[in-house]
Amino acid sequence: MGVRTVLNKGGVTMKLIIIITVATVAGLLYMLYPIPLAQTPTGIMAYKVVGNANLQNPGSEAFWSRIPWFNVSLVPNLSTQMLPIPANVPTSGEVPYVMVKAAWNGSYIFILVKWPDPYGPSLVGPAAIAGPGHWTMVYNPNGPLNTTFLKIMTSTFHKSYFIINSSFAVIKGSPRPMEYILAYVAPHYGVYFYGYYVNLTTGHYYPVRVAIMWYMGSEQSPSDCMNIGAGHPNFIVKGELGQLMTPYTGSSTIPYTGGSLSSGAADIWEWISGATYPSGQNFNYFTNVTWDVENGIDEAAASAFSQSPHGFFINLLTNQTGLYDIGDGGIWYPNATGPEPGYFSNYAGAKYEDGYWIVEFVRPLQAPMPYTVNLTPGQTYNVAFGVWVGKAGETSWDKSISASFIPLTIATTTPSVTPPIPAPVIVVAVVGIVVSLVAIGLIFYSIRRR
Amino acid sequence: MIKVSGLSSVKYYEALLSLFLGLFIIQFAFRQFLQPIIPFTPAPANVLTAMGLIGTFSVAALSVTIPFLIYETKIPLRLLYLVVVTTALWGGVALSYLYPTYYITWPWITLSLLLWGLTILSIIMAVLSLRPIELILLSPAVLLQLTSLLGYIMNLLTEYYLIPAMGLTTQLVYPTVLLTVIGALTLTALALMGLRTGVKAMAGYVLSGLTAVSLSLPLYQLTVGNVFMQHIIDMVFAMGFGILTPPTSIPLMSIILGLYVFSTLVLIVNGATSNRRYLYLAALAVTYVSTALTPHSLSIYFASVASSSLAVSYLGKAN
Repeated sequence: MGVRTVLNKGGVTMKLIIIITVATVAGLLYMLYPIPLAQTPTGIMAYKVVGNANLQNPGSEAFWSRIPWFNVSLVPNLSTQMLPIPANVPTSGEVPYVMVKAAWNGSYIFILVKWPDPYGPSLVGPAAIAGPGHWTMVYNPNGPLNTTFLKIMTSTFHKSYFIINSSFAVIKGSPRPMEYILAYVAPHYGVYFYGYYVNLTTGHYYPVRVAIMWYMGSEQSPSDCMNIGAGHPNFIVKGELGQLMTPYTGSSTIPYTGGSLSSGAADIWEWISGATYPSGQNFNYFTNVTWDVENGIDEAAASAFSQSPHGFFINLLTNQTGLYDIGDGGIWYPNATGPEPGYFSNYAGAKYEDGYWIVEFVRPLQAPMPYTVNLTPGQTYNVAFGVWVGKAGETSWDKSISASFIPLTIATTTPSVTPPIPAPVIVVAVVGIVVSLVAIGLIFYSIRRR
Repeated sequence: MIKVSGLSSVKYYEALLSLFLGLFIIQFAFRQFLQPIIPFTPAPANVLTAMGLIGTFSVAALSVTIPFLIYETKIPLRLLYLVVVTTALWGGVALSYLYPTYYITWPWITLSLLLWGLTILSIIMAVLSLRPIELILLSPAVLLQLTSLLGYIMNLLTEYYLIPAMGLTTQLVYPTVLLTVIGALTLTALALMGLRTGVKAMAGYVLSGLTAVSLSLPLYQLTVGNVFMQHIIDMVFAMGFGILTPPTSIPLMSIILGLYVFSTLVLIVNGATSNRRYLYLAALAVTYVSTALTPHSLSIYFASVASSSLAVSYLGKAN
């Protein structure tokens, strides 16, 4: 049984000591140097393809037919599953899933997304750029609305409201400053966030949006669920409202900036049907060079874009301090940069077909602006998805998101390496393997019993 | 069953198994369990880094220990298991330097399929080696692991062989939670079946109880009357373990967590003080339950499940 040692009165063999030593050395090496762990295949694949995007008819390109859809289940972000809020929000989580394909052609990456939308195309929307703004609908599912609390809350944030009936009211103006109160405090006082005010008859609804979040931090298990907060971290709610929130949140301070990330930073690609899509009602804002320059967009980039406008997506930066616009002067959120030449260097195509939205994101692999993700073939990235159905009352912080980040690998292989195999063949093969394994196990068992 | 060629060889094997079990518990505690939770506690940020390093140490040390453990497990197909598991563990590390995208190439996918199949085979062999009462009480853990392996193969088929198999993983969420709850109760029953008297055993049981209570009681007290913290911990469970349960169930889940910790430790105490068989069963339960709730994205998960299964198979019914 091998060489004995003085350890444990000779009861510990040299073999065991060697194994423990080697294991310890290996463990220490892993602690000192970033040695990769052996992986198994998982996640979304961006395959190497030949060809270019057809933004007029996204998804029609020949290479997409050889790449499978990756199904991403979505969850309501304003739900008790995802956030420590007291109640679910009825309008959050209207999109059950989004299907994803990814490819790259050497210079550009293409991300194709498809999701069901029974409400039909929504190309207009006051929230795209300008208009009446985000109106907030509140209600009480358990009885009459507590108008006393509603008055205290709205007056603290200098908002007005109008009553629809005894249980419903609409707050005029964006809920952004009071999101934390609406989510964590107001339900305790009989005022619940219902969703964004929508009136399909008068055209008061928000545009469809879809976003991809690329994680750029170093946490092993980051959350893709953004924080609910205020305009800046440690915002102190003054007066009576501050006193009313303390029993439920521990203090009158709102710790986070709304839209900030709990750990690390991420680049968000956001396509807005009303604003960044040529068929959208507000697309003409971006084709106007004067408006662009007034809003902090690079003049040369704006001029070139006005000559040859195309669908595109905006880049946002989220980190632990807040949520920011990249490359403009702060059209939606505070700006993280000054004007950037690469503002319009990404492309997007979209179509609404048979009850589904299909949107194609196209971007150079190399980061076109500061704070945007640089993509390298062979690397794996963490991505998350968010979708908003404006006609159902979703927009801004009220959306459907993937419950966590998903690995996306920019593969150096082409999809033809693993050609499609008919489903019945695979099913039979898997069943056959399992039956064979059971048979081998039974044979093994019977041999051992002899 | 174990061929007793010498008491020292049995001791050597059991020492290897204990080393494997210890390292696996450390990697689970620091890498899988505490890392997602720490950011939500008042602990300083550098604690997270230290925990990550301890977890990484354990994974690397496990990668060394597992091939030796399999080599000493005298069962049919031992050589095949040794080659496939060692290739999956260390071949992947070597290839990550030579060809970083090795894990999406067809040879590696084929190897992963083989590893997946051999893991299932090892589970079958372990199941056939369990006594009837053990099989009944461990069946939730076995089903959890098989469910997880089914989810893995469905994802693999969808993404690499272009077979759409959508929605299966979402449909399995609640059965998985139910199996997790039932598994805690049955594993506790299995642990209590082996209770022994004696100073060492009693001291071990008391320590097991105290450890379990010290983990689950604060979590229970924190969440039982506090809706805010129920939601925080619910999110942690969702992120860390993939367990999606209503937030109101979190106090119950903290008890379930405590039961798992208690029953595993009692099994280890039983194994150390009276019947070694409980040590093997503890390894089986810990690897099955803890890897069932996380995507099998690392080879070490398959290798750990296969190792503990082969050990139980090697032990047989008679020992």
